[in-house]
Amino acid sequence: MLDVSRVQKELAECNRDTAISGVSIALHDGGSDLSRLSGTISGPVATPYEGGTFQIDIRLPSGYPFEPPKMQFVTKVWHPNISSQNGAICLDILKDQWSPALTLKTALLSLQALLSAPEPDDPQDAVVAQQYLRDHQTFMATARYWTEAFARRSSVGIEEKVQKLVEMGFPEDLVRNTLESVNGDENQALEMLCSS
Amino acid sequence: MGSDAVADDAYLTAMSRDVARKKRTNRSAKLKQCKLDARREQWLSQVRNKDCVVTSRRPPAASPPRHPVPSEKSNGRLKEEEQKEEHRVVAERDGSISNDSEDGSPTHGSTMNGCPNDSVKSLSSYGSSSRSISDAEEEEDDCEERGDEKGGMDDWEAFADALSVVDEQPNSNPVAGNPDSKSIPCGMDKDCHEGLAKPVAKPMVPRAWRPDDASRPQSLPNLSKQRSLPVSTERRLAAAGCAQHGILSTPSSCPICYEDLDPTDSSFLPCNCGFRLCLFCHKRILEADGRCPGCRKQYAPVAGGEVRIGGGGQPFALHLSRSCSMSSRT
Repeated sequence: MLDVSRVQKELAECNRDTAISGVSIALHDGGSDLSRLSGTISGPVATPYEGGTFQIDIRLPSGYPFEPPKMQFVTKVWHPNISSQNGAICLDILKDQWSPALTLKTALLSLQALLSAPEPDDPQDAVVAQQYLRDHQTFMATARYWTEAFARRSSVGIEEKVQKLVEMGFPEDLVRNTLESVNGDENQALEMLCSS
Repeated sequence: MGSDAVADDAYLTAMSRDVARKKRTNRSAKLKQCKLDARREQWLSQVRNKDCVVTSRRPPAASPPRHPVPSEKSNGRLKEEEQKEEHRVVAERDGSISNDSEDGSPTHGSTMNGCPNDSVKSLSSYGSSSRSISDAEEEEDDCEERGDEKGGMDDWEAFADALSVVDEQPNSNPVAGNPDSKSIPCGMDKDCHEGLAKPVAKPMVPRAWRPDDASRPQSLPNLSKQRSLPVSTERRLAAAGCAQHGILSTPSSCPICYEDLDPTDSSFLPCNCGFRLCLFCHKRILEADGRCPGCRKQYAPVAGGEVRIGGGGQPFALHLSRSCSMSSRT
């Protein structure tokens, strides 16, 4: 029942201007199931999430686009409206305010907007919301730290890259160090490893 | 009256044939008829206006016509010939009326010559009818038959004029019209026959039926066709306007299912916010929460007021709502 043609067109449409929009969608784990997707958003500038890349798990119900897509942060985020435990999102357009006129791209852009404009009065994570309201400075620091720790571009999928390079015959610790030095760029790391 | 019965029988058979022929009448013929009707209507109105001016200047009891009589006479003769020709066509189909037509046409011709002033008008409608007949004669068989049909339609008004003229002139034979009316049934259908009774009953109608005449027979065919012309042009204009705004307002595909919008969909405006979607998605939403995807407001309970506007069948209602949406946008 899932509107396959719409989802395919949405994917093509969304990935056309990824560089500008900062959001992209791919099939989950490179599979072929259109109902399981993986979205990526870049942290908005001038926020503690700047420089981070956040992965979002997307599951499309059979009623999509008449039912909202189910979205959840895979990357750990410190945000009042996102669960620090499981990445569940509290956003109206993903619940009762969903409209079939919205798309996966607009939903991801809304998540980006949510990162830059938290709603502590309607929290998903009460602890984070409390901190946001009472100790904003600590909140900012924690959020920035979590971004550095979990959402750095280099740390996204780093284990796969390490494994790939190790399989090529390079020692694991050297691979890790090289990847870290080139900020997670797999090709650059391979070049360095080969030339060294 | 025995001859009458024969004529009626022949007329009935002719009528049934006409019905069968009508079914075969294709679209192009209708279009052609439409154009002819429009042209004739234009012509008639012009002549009517001229005629009004003339009659106002002329004293009511003026007997000798100052119009160029010879041309009128020649026209009358021409008309007579045409009439004969027409009757010959009918006679080929059902030979029984041929005698009748021979009797009828001379009297008719004389009445025409007797009152050239008013015959201008009837000639006008005759001009169109003769044209259609001659057109038809040039064409192939079935086309010819269709042309005859057209000629019949046009003839009706011409004869109505002729009859009223007869009634207006006290010195001419008042019965002259009646044998004519019997000889008419050349390819005419029932409508014309019913219509013929009217001028006899209401003698003071010295002109063709106008579309807004109260006593005009309802079954007269060219009314709807003439209406259909401006409607279609209006729609075309609206479509042009639509194309102009298209880049801004009207999406080419449904924003919900991403399928292309067909003409029905693209003129479908279910919500005041202007959000467009295809009928399938609209139905799907109505089955669920029924809120407009564009503004999240509840759709109107009667589905955009289609049923309220129309009152008739569903396609008609849909058509109306479409034209409404068009006009509201422009």
